[in-house]
Amino acid sequence: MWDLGCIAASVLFFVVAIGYTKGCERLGTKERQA
Amino acid sequence: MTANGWFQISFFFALILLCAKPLGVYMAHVFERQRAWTDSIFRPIEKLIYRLSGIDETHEMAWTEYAVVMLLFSLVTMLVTYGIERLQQLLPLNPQHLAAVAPDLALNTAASFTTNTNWQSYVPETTMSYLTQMLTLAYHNFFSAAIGIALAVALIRGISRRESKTLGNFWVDMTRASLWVLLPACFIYALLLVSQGVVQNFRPYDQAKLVQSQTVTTTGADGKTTTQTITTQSIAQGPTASQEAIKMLGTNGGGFFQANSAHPFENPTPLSNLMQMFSIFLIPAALTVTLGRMTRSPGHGWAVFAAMAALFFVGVFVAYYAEAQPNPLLHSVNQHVTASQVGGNMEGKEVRFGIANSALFATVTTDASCGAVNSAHDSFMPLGGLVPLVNIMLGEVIFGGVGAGLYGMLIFVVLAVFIAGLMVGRTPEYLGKKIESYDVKMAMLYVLIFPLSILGFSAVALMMPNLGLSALANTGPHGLSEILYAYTSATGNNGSAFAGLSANTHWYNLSLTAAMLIGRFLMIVPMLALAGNLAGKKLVPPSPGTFPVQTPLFTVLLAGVILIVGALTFFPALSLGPILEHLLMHAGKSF
Repeated sequence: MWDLGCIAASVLFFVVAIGYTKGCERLGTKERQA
Repeated sequence: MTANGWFQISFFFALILLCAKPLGVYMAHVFERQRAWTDSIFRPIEKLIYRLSGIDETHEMAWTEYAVVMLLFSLVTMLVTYGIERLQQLLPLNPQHLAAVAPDLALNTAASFTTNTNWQSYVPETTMSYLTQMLTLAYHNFFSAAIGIALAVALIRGISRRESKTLGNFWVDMTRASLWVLLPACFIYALLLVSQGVVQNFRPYDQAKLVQSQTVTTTGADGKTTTQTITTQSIAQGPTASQEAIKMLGTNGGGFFQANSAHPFENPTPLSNLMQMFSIFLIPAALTVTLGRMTRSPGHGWAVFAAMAALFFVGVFVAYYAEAQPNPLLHSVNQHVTASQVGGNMEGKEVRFGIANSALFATVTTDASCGAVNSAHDSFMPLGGLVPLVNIMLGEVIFGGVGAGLYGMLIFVVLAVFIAGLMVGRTPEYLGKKIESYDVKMAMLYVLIFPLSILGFSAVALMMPNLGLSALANTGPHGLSEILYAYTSATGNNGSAFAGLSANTHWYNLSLTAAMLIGRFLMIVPMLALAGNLAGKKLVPPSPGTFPVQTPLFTVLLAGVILIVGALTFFPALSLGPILEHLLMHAGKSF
């Protein structure tokens, strides 16, 4: 159970980090358009 | 403080100054794919790696691709590390038959080594098998450092390229950092360490018979006391030198033994101690020269080096001064320097290294994101302990971690240029690139995530008596410093511990894991976004309003911005921790 939780939490963090990357990219695109 | 102590500190820094340029120029050649004298050895190996792994070395990546590839690579290697730790009892090279690492500790350790932190909530010699240490931890020591160098190079390319959508290729940069820089340096360095007496073997631990047996009485959790007579001592050993080399050169810091660089098998002589400190600063210092070469502005590289050097000397002066003073609470003890005693505060320090080399090591290891220790930071005087804490809180940009120090410093350069632009009323420019709204937003995101993690986690730990406070060995301001140091070290990816905190609990293992991941990856992303945005800009010719970034004035402004941002952010917490402890110590109170 602990193992599953640890692996899921790790994957979740990196998914959030990739989403955060996309967010930073989108902010850049918006700023350039403005 | 003694003249001999200052001579040793000056000699150490002179060595760094001497070696920074040749190595920096060499790295510029390697990452700009110009001819380097080692090409004939490493180029065939590099080509073979790309052929076997299907990497197209001519493929250029946009910043988003660079970031996502780096994130996915880190995730996979972190999960493999976790798996090996959990299965080490079934795997070879485990002569001590060590059991599987507990899940929360395995996660903490996997995150710790993936993020170049090397925070260790465990005793390595009784927890990790030789295979775990060599296959996963030493592996991360190489690749987390190589990733740091690759990221710094990507940011330098962002600054130096014009109207470009790409920053290079992550796989190529990482491979080149490992093959051309880290591997050959570590090979030679490990042999030098062996020459000083650092162990390198695969033997099971020796059992030495004690000359005088010891009787030890312990009290268990149930309150029962047990008396034991101990007649033998287990002498831990293993493949230490090979791990020690990359531990220092890669600013990793995770010890093969719990005592880290205070252990005679990890750091046996004053010469090995000098080599260790030198190897922590070598690559970060050389990267400033690489910055100057790759941006075609050598003066800018040296201006950044000068700002780092100035902040380093302030830190080492305060630490050495604080540790060389007599402890005011020990009224009746003669603590002055004589021919037969060093004077000052020797608690928690190795007699082999003394006060000057302990203060210097503590400053160097926390200026960089290394975290190796040759003395107990917890036993430093309050102001001596303040220095390592402040060094990490400033973002570890004083030479800093391998690569991480330089990209952290360049974020402050962008802020310094922005502030200078505001002062003269012109659009800020940095090496011909206009610094605009998005650049400053990304720089500020980088700067703000850091204190948010440190202060946020520390505050939560302090509010929870059963989870946060129960692990403390000290009360009052010293206890606050211990918790603050743990989250600062984790978020800053330093990995050194202040001690006095039993961090191998579910709460600390999991919250420190989160702090390490946030402090590494959520800060890298805005840095790469800034790099990508800078790469796409046109070059603006210099005008009378351009703030030159090669001058002593720029160096002073840069150092000032770093100190002001750090002071404004962390002074309230520091005033309740080491500063209050210092004042109370002079009022006769200790914790």
